[in-house]
Amino acid sequence: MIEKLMRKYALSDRGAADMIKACFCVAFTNIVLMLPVAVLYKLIKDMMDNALSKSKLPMYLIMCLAVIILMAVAHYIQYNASFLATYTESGVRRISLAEKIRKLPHSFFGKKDLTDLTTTMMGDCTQVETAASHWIPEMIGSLISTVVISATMFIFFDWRMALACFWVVPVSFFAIWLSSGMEKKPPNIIRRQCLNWKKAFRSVWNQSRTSVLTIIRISIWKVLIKRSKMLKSRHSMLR
Amino acid sequence: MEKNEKINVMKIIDPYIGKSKGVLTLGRFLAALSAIIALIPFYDIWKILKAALDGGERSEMSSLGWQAVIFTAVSMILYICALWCTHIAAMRVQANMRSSLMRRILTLPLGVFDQAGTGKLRRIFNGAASAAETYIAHNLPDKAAAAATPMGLLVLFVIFDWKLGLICLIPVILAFACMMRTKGKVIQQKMSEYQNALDVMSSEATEYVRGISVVKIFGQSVDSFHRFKRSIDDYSSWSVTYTKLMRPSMVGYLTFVNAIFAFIAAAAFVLIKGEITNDIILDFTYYIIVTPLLTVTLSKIAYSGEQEMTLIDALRRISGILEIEPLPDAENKAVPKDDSITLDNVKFRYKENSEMVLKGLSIDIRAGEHIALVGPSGGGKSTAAALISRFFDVTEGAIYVGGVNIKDIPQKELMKKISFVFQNSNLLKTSILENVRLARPDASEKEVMKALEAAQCMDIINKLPNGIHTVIGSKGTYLSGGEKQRITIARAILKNAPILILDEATAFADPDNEALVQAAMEELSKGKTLIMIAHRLSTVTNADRIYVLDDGVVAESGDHEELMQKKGIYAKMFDDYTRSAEWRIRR
Repeated sequence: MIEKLMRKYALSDRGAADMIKACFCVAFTNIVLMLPVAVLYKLIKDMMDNALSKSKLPMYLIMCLAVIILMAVAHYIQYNASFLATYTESGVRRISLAEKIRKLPHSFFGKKDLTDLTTTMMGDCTQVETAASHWIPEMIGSLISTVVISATMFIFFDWRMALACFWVVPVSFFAIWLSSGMEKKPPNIIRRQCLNWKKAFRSVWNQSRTSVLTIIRISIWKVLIKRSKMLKSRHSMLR
Repeated sequence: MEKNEKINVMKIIDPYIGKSKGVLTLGRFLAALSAIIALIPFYDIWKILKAALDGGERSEMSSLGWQAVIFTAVSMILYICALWCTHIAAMRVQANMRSSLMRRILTLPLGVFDQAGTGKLRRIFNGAASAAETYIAHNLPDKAAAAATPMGLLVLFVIFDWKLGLICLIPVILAFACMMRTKGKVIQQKMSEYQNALDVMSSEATEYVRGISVVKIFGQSVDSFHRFKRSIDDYSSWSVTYTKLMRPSMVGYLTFVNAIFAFIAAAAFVLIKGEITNDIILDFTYYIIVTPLLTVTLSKIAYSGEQEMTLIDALRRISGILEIEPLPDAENKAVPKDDSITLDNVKFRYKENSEMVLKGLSIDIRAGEHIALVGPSGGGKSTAAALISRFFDVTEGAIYVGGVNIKDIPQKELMKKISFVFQNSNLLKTSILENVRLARPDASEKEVMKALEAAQCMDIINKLPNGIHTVIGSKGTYLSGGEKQRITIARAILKNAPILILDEATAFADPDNEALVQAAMEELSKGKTLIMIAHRLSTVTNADRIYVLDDGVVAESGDHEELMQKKGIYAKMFDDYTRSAEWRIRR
């Protein structure tokens, strides 16, 4: 796996290991970001049970602080793992590229536009840098966390609710996969329009990632509705 | 970014938009509309929640649910339409920008291309055009949406429970404070230092690649590699410093933006007094659902600046080139009387405040005279030749061709009068015929052949698979430096201009080529005013007059004999030269 990454993204040993680490850090952060939902779940539950007394204040205070600290730590680790590591790696990549150029046959330099070569060398490195620090760990990490979170939801909550939350994930991936080949082919007008669709889908995918988090919160409803019926019956009994 | 440096992006883009302006406005409007409509489902959710808590009808709930789905779909379709509109406008802008930049390039002084490098120019222009495209196609609609969402959100926030709404806004304000820190002065300064490190690295990279032939011939890592490595290390360390500097802000921002839950929990203890009613539960649940939307909107706004920065950077690079004034074309439209050239106390510097390269150069060349410019490198030979062809305008003094100031001669006339052959000869990637014909597009194939013959190019033509129809640069047909120069000489012969400027190529690898180029040049210069920039002195002994340029002025002049008798710079140079030549032969 490490070797495959090294080849695909032009990484050194350490760079590949760092990238894997960054992916897991993103996944970890995403999962930590689910903890607030647990706190809120408890809050609503207490409210519905009419059990939200002042005596619970310290408990909530500690829970909230703990979660906030955990989030800060997770973000700190993730920041280090994705940004610091890639920028260190980028220096290594540029130097190894320079070494490689030095070893090319002499005739190569007579034939190639040197400006182009330099542009390629520097520009592509910057691109790979951005991809490695921003997109790739973010993408793979959120994939991991989405799978973990959705699995727990399918197991512990109503599977129909979970399905309602997560159908967007495979659909958007399918859409992106479907259109990813298109960019490689020479664009004509139809393809260009298709690319617009792709971009639209991408933004939907971005939104769906957050809406997954949102909808998970909505899954509280189910419990809510059940409770509300109980509450109502209790009220009517009182009356 | 300094305030006064701020570029109004829309203003710059405006002239390129043309008829698509309406489409762009429509696209932005649709994007904003889509963002507002996307909020309606959240109102539906509130109603569903209310119905659920109050034990409303199931059918009512499901119809509200469908309403939410429909509004989401409508919002999505509107967004796609918005993207279509902005893409149409973006493509138009990109195309217009490219063509108008290309037109502008044609008016720039010829010397700019030598100085800036054609590759760099191309990169700058293409970069700016595509940055503008991305910006218009994606950022403008997203910005419109990002501007519309907070307004809608504020309504959603305040109408239900304004106290709870305000409490939820506290972490948002804290997050923004963190974000603002990244725009502070210290960080901006670091940012520009980081940019400098990036620039240094790029130029060192160019140096390195240029010097690579030398590195290879001597088979070792020389200084250029170490310098390049150091610049890479510098850049890396700047990146790391910069990232570390940004770390507290970023971590703070991300933490606060996700900490809204804690404030909701706190609000529960502060706001709830007495019994918990369904309405209270409804409000809290609703805010739990809605607040993530706030996080998303915030992040969108926070990151929207990035693309704009790229575009501003690209536009700034462009304006750096566009600021170069085109040389004013002649107003008087005078025609030179003969083929003489006079440099009258010419002073020149490449950039304002830089050192003068020419410091009062005066040379008189009669029509038909053959002169040579010699002297140490950096003495101003090539600059003088470039000024005669009006690659740049002189800083002080004047240059006359045929008794007329070259500023008064229309560019076309001047170009008809002068042809030049440079050290590094550029051939276009087309057939040899077309390459030579550039000098005179109406020339017949026969005339081209004659010119090639006069330029001693027949051996090149004969060895090529398709003769003069061979496309240079395709399928392994590459010409050596000397061969290329002979082709450009043929070009000059075909043009047959009365004034000729030759920048003689420095050392050729093979003596055969050297002899042929020599012969070709002699053929070319027959009966013409010739200015030769000589790097090897063997070729100048026949010149009518030799000017020795040193430090931007004429140090000596005269023919070969006179100068040898003077025993000045020239005599010394010539002695050195013959000694080295002898040494070369004996070996």
